[in-house]
Amino acid sequence: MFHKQNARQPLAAALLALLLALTSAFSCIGLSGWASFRRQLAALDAQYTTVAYSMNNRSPIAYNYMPVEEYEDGSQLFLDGVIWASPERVERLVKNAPGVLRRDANVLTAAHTPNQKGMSSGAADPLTYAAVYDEGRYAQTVAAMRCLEVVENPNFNWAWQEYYFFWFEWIDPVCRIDAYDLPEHSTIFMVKCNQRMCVDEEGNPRPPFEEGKTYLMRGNFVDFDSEYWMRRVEATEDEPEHMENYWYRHTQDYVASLTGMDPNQDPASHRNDFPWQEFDMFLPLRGEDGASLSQDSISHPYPLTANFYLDATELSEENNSLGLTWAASVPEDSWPLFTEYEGDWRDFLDTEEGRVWRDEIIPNCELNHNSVPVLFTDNVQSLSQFCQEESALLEGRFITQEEYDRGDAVCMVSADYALYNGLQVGDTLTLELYKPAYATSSGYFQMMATYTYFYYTYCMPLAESNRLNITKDYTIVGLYTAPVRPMDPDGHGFRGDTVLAPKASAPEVVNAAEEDNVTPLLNTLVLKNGSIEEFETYMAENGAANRFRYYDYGYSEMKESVEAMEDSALRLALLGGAAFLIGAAVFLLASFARMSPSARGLRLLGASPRKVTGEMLSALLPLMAAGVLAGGILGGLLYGKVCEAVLSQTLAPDWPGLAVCAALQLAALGAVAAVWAALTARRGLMRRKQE
Amino acid sequence: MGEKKGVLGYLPLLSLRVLLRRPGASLLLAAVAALGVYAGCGLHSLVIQQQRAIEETIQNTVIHCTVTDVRGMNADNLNLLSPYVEMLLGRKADRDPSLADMDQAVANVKAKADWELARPFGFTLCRLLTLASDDRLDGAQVTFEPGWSEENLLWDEMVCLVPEGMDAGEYVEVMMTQPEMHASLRVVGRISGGPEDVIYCPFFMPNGDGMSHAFTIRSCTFDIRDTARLEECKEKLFSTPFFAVPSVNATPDGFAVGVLVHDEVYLNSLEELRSNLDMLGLLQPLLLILMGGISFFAGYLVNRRRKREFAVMRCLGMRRRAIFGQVLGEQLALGLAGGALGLCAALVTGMEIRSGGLAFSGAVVGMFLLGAAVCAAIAASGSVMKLMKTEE
Repeated sequence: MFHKQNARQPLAAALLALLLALTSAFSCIGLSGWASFRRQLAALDAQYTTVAYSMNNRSPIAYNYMPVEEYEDGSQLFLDGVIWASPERVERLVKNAPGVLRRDANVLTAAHTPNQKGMSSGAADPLTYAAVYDEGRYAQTVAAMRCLEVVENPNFNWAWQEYYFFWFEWIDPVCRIDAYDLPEHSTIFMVKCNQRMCVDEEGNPRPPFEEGKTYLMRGNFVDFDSEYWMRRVEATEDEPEHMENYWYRHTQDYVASLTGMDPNQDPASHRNDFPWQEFDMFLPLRGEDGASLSQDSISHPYPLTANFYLDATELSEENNSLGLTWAASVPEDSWPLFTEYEGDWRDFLDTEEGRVWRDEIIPNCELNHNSVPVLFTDNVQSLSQFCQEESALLEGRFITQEEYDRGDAVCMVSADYALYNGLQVGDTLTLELYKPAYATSSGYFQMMATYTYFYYTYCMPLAESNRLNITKDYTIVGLYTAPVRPMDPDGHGFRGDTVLAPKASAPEVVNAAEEDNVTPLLNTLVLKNGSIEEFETYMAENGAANRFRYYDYGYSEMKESVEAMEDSALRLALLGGAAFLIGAAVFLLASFARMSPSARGLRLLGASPRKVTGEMLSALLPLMAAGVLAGGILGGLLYGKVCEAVLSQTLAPDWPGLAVCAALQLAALGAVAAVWAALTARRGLMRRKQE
Repeated sequence: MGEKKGVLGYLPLLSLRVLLRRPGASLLLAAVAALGVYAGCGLHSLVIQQQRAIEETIQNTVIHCTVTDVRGMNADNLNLLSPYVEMLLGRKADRDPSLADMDQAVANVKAKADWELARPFGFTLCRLLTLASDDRLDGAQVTFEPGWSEENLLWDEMVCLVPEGMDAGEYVEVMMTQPEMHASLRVVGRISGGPEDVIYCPFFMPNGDGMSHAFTIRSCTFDIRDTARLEECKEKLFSTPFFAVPSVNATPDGFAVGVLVHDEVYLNSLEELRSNLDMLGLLQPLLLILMGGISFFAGYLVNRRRKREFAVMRCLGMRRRAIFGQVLGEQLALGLAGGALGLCAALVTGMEIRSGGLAFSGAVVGMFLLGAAVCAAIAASGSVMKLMKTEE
């Protein structure tokens, strides 16, 4: 019956369907706008990273400011009522703090780079050398030296003064990184070793070296210290006379020019004034239970790498007169730390005793020279140095989120490293990966009268036991700039020799990494954009104020726009919904107004209300379906065409979302139509007469 | 004539009665008009809001720049001559015309140089452009003597700021050996909460001999003067032979230095925000067309039901024009009432209504009236007999 009515009045039916289509299109555009705005907001949000870095992790204890109570977690209460929250307490608070999205636990490891040169701190410019940056790998050296003098230290103190001073004469660098091959060198070296090597098992002092003998030794080469000062530069055609900043190397000639004395004649006289070149043979101790007994600068146990630790034997109380607690020795299955030889060291290397030096120690030393630290991360831009704009993208691009997610073999290297090795964006860098092992060292720079102290995390030596047997080719996608001397006082700095790569690109390395909550470089607290205030308030309320520094890449400046966008998105969605409601109401009103008289006629002819309802719905549903479907397609197409023509592709309509929206509209419309039809069919047949 | 006047005078009342007799349809049509106007105002308001937010973002965003070598490196280890700082401050136009008005492109130049003093022993003399140039002064309180301010650090007076705890009178005698300098500096302020062993003086303060000597600084940063003119400022900066966009492959000539402009995040965000604004702008006409269509069909469909009513009117002697006028009048009343309601709703919900929004709303009401007019015209022009017959 009603189908016939539609067929007889096609214009009216078409107009009704068209009205519904337009209404639906309006709401679909509103929905698409809302969805696109949300996507845009997400994209905008992704541009920014709000991070928090821990700082002030050292207790403010001073001689005139002492705690009156210490809590179980290490927090301290001072006389003035101030509570200093220990890192453990801060850590616990962070877990419940508002706005914390995640903790980005970066993984630091080292990799051998078969075709590249390792870039030690002074590689590009000798004056930028700093021993603290070269510890572990670049400074690994095998040297032939003659012991000149073993001197007992009159000021020996087990905590910070060695029992012996060892003075050696430099014979030859058997294996040393090229960057250290500079013209100025000491002829006399101070050799440092773990002082527990200097006692026998009875705790009696016993120097490991004998005066006059020659040794092959392995350890860290420590070059002359440098100092920041000024020098006068004479006027040239281009430049006027001016004062120039200059890093002076404390070479023996320089010391002689300052003091008027030849340090070689009296090595001990300037030991404290001007640090010498040194040969540092310090190795951490392994206890009888196999655990590391030595701690780094932030009281973190040194990692124990095979061939790079000493075995400790506990001294009994009666044998511990020097207070050293342990006697240390090179483990039986370890490489020797030094070997006495006679004659030419080259001849010694050809002997059976020299075989381990020739075939294992020296090749390993070379391997360490041609290596890089690799920082595996989920977000380069959340690294403190980038947040502080001390590092920045120079060429190429950052690693994308998709590359992080997929674990693509892409990386960023510093411009210095690229230049040093002739690399460019798009080139491949081969990395032979090792298990993560690192320690934190403290360092300082002297600039004029000012000393700047900082912490630095460095990778332990590459060793066969740490090799992962994984070689990957990483494509360089970007070059970054890095400070020559990263001096973050809280230990978040890394040098320009560091390769930055997605964490997911090396799951084997990540799996081999231990959970570490201590080394600051490896931990970034990622906050929800715009939540700094809330987070800091929470921390302050819990006695941990000013324990974080925050960076948001200027999100706070963008906040107004983001809020406006959020508002726009909501209003668009509401407008779309309201338009649909009104349009649908007009559609239903007009439709039922058309069908009411016929429905009444049918009822008068004896049709049951259910049948009439069914007939009305069967006539309406195709109209509604056609209208909503056409509206959805029209809305999507109009929106898509406009966006495609003028805007970026990211704003293309969300077709599955539109389909769901259209289905929901149809369902809602159908439900209302069913109720309306039922009411119309059950309307009293006499009513019209009475009117 | 009298009869005509009577019919015409009766029309508004008739219209009102017609509207009241069909409250559902009337309300619905008014609601369509109200929604159209509300949507128009809303969209326009969103555009305005978004535009303003972008303007504020641009205004609030500070673009930092770092001076590097031409290869983009050594930002913390420069040997940058102090005249470069003067160039950035716009004081070297006499050296090269391209340096004129450089201060219109850059702002907040931060540079400092530390010199160790032989007297007072243990102190450092820090040449400072602004207090923000030295991280050590973060959180420090600086109290200037009356008549002096931070502005004076930009110039070359023989003055200084001393630590609060320093035993200094009106003047401080400073002496250093390298470079040679002996001067008497007037104390114009005291610093509390800062370093205890640093005396701060103006960056360009002459040496004791009264001559200004060039010196080098380790690092230098500055901001773009006006973020709204970012490209213009960058162009100005890089139009000089002294500042260049750093590149790893650049060859140092000892002349140009690199400037890293940290604007990637800002530019990407701005692009997103602008595309959002563009989309809003494009949605406006699109929604106008759709809203107009909805209004047209709503008016048409609701009035289409009244064909018989129009036929009766014709039988009673009403002329076509009068019927057309009445229908239009009814729709106008509904449209205006709905429009006013939409405007009120827009105002109540805090939308900003400007001429653009009103024009959009007017267009929606116009479309609404057009739909009704078409319907009325069709109804009024039809054959009375046919209409009566069809309806029966």
